[in-house]
Amino acid sequence: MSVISSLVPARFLTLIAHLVIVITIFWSRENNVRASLPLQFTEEEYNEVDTRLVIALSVTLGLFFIELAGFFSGVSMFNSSQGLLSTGCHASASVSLLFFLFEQWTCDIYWWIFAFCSTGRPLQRIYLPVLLCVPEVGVLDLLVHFCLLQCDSSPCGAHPLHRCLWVKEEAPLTFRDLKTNRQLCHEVTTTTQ
Amino acid sequence: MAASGKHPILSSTPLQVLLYLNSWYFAAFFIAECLMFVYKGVVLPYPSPNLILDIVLLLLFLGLEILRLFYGWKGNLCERALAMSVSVGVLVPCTVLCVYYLLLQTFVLRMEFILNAILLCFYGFELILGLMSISTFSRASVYR
Repeated sequence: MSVISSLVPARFLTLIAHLVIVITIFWSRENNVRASLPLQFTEEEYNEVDTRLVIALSVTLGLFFIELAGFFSGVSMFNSSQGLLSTGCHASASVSLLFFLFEQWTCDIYWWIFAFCSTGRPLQRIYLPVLLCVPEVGVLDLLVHFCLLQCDSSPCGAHPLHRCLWVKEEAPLTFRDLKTNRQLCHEVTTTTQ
Repeated sequence: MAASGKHPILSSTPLQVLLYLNSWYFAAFFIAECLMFVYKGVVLPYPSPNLILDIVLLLLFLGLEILRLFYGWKGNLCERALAMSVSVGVLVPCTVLCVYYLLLQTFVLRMEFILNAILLCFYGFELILGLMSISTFSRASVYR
């Protein structure tokens, strides 16, 4: 049964990857909130945008539980088109959220990613005839992915706020930091010699 | 087997599902950990003995996990209590290693924290289901 042997682990791993990235964003959402605000902001504005992002992430986590329940109960194991759509949605969501996290996109973009990748999934579990719009959702997914990959490194241009907010102690996973760290180490060794 | 009416199937399906998914998850976890150690070794100021200890413990983790999953898989499918108890026994050092990578490492990345927490959830469920299946298998063998 090649369908079960290859689709089920793929679906599981993309689901877990999406979950891990959502939890990581939950943890380090400060940079994204600051990217959505102007240079001078008040405490209330920060809290408002922060609360909105927390709500978006909480709804995502809630939908995740529905998805995991459907996955572990095995209801949709033999429905390969649904499994394929699930894998595709979660993979594209993971890639988009990686960009969201590393490039410090604004919080509004999260709602777009959420709308395209998270809302269709649990609805399918509950109401199977929604499967009829599978090709439609797939096309939308591709469009979003293509559109998102075409974005510049930062939609606001090289915002000075982004650069000065890149905290080294967080140990972020980008090559930008690798290069700057190596430069720093090089400078330190040359000054100490 | 169940068709004969004499031997009900005692293997635990949820445990088998968990073991299957756990093997895939641990493969991805191991690759992710290796890459993260490469990243940490380059970027963070690691004292050499600590880095070597962490990498050796990761290889030990791989070996123990393969052993545990194999014994759990075969023990559950063949309905043998001894293999299942070996699996549950090996779960203890695996949990210790998981907690080490979660909390006690020299440098703990957030991603590592989350991945190890998910692995601990797997271990919790597998412990409960493993103990239940051991009791099921040993109770059934008494009456054979």
